[in-house]
This record gives sequence, structure tokens and C-alpha cells, in this order.
Amino acid sequence: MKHLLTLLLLFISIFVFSQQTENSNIILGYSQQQDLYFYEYQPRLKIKAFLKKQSQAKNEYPEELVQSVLSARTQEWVNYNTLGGETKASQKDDTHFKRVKKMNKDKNYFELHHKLIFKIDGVETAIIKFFLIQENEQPISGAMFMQKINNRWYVTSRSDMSMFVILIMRIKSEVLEGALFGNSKNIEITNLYKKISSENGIDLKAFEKEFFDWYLPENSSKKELFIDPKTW
Amino acid sequence: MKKIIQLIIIAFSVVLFAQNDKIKFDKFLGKKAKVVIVKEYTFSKLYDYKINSQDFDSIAVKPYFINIPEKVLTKKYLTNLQANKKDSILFALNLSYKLSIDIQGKRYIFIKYRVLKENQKEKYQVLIVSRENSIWVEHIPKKVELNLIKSVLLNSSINLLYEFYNTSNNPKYPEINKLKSATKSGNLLDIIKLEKVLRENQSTLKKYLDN
Repeated sequence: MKHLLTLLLLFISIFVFSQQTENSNIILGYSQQQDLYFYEYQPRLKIKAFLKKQSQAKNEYPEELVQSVLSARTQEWVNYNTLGGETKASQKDDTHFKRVKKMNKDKNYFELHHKLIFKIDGVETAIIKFFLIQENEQPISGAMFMQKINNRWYVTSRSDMSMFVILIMRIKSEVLEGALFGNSKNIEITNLYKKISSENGIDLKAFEKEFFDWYLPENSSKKELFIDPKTW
Repeated sequence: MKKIIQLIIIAFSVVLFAQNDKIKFDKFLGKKAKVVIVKEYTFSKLYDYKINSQDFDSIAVKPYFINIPEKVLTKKYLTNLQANKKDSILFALNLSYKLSIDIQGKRYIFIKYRVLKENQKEKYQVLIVSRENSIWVEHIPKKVELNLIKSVLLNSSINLLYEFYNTSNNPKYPEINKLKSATKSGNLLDIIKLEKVLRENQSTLKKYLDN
């Protein structure tokens, strides 16, 4: 019995010691007050693939980048639109580029709904909600995340913004405007604004948290009011 | 008359076609709102050297030669450490704790330590190291962010950081419990807010620092 007790104590010490040698996670970060610009495309802006050459794509504005993304008919052009170039760009095959060249430009286009522009770590950033309208297909919702480097916009991604990008894609334009400015006549949207706003501005993390809560069964009415049913 | 109508139709088509592919991209400006953006570090870990004091790593009496962050610290005091003899240790480095953190894709290690010289304890300092071409080297901070984190470590102990970080209140630390909410943004410990709280409450929180 004495030996068993000694073994047990030894085992516990080893276990505790090995636990204490490990690093401990601690979630650190910081918050910054920023200016953010909201624009709703009224009427919805149709961006069509009218660019024929990469040299025509200046990408000086977010909407120009959207047009360039839709028009890109070579892998080099896709790389040009993407931050990080070839190493980060999605690889498209020849079938895709042939389709871009041949498609009816008036029946296959991006329809833009709303846009946010703000800065992350001093870098100008935009998120645009759009629908891809394709001939004989159901529209597909999307949100393009882009950043401006050396006066040119590039498609890119940031893992810490992925949830926020989905929020921007799914939310109705009027709800987003009401949540940012508190100017809605709808009481639920006004309540949302009150929940996420502080003296320093709209807390985007709190906004994300509210977004998650809309998917709880008890909040189905909010989900119906706030989420665009045509989005995935 | 027929020719005039044809000319009008052509002119109209040209204008219509021109509108189809010419968008004034500079007009989509938008309304301004004030927002608070929270940035979370993708990697941040604390390590308490004192837990392993029965091992070797909280007191350094000789230089390290393997490529680890602590080697950079011992290299800084190489001459002093090399002067130590087996039966005569006059100089040592007391390592308190370190923070490993990724900032814009780069790993930084902040090591809080103090010099023990002829039985005298000097004041705590923080050394920052980063990896350059796979070798750990000292990093002299120029960015505000790095100096902010350095200030946090100088004004805290690892225990203090954990107590601020924990969502539940520990009755042993009433002063920290009162200040806790002022250091958070959501669930994370906000280093800008934390640095301010630590700086403004130094006398109150002094008793929780390492002696």
C-alpha cells in the first residue's frame, strides 16, 4: 500500500510538472476607433465584363477591381488582381477563360448591393456585397474583400475578418445602414444599433456577436428581418 | 428624311453603348460612421520561467549556446556570465516570464528579466527578440505596438496578467476585479486599455508584482 501511494504521488508530480512546462494561451488584441464609409448602390449597380485587356484594368477604385475580376481572361490577369500575385491567386483553367470571353456580357454580370470602406492596420480596406447574375442560373451571393496597396485595389483575404465578411454578405442593405447610423424607422433595427453602439462608435465585434445570435432558434424573427433571404 | 432618322439611330446607339461600359467609378463615396475595430493577435502565449525553477530555466548563470530566444539574453551579458566560476557565482539573470506573440506575420518574444549582481537585485527589464534568417536576435522596437507590449510586461507579473484575463473574479484580487472590465474588448485582453490601467494604477497594483 505504501509503495502504491509513493507511485501515485510520483505520477501526480510528473503530471503536474509536465503541465506547468507548457505555454499558456492568452487572447490579446486591441481596439481602434476608425472612420468607416457605407455606400448602398441604388439602383443596384451592374458591373459587366467589358474590359478586354489587362492594361485597361487600372483598379484605382473598388468597383473597377470588381469589373477587372469579372473580365479577367488570362491567369496573368487573375494574378494581377490578387494581392500576393501568382502565389495567392486562385488558379483558373482554360475552360473558365473561354467562358469569360464568349459569355453574353449583358446576361452575366455582378450586381452590387452595398459597400464598406475602412482601414485595417492603416491599410484601406473594402468589402462589397454582390450577386453574380448568370444566364439560366440562380443568382449567387458573394462578398469581395479587397485592400488598397500603392494606389491599386487587390482582392485578398484575412482570417480575422472572415466572419465579418459573411455578415456583410448576408445582411440586408437597409439593416446595415440602420445598424451603423441609427436612422431606421424599424424598432428592431434601432434596438440593434443601440446594442452595438458606444461613445467610441459601432463595435464591430459586438455586431458580429449579434449576427451569430440571430441564428439561435429563439431569434428566428430577427433573422427573417435582418438577413437577406437570397444569400447563402 | 430617311437618312436623318438613320443618323439619329446610329448616334443614339453610340451613346447607349458608351454608357454601357463607362461607369464613373469615383462617385461611389458613401456616408461616414465611427466604428471600433478589434484586432486579435493570431498567436499569443505566456510562459512562466519560475514554475521551472527546480529545473534550470529561471536562473541563468552561464551563457546559452543553442539557438533559443534566451541565448540572445545571455549573449547580452556574455562577459559577466563567463566570469562566473563553479564555486563563485557573482552574476545571474533571473528570468521572470515571456510572451510569445505574432505581430503582422512575425513572431516576437518578450522576455522579462532582471540582473542579480553580487546578491543585489536590479530592476526588471524586457528584452525583445525576433527571428532573422532562422537566428534569434535582439529586436530594438520602433513600432508603438511593441513598446506598448513592453510597457505592459514591465508593469505586470504573469499572475497579474492571468487575473486580468480571466473572466471570473478571484476574491483574492479585489483591485484587479474592479479594473478588469476597463482592460477588455469583448473577451480579449486589450493591450492599449491594459497598458493604460497598469500605468494609472501602479501604486494599487504594486503588491501583485514580482518582488
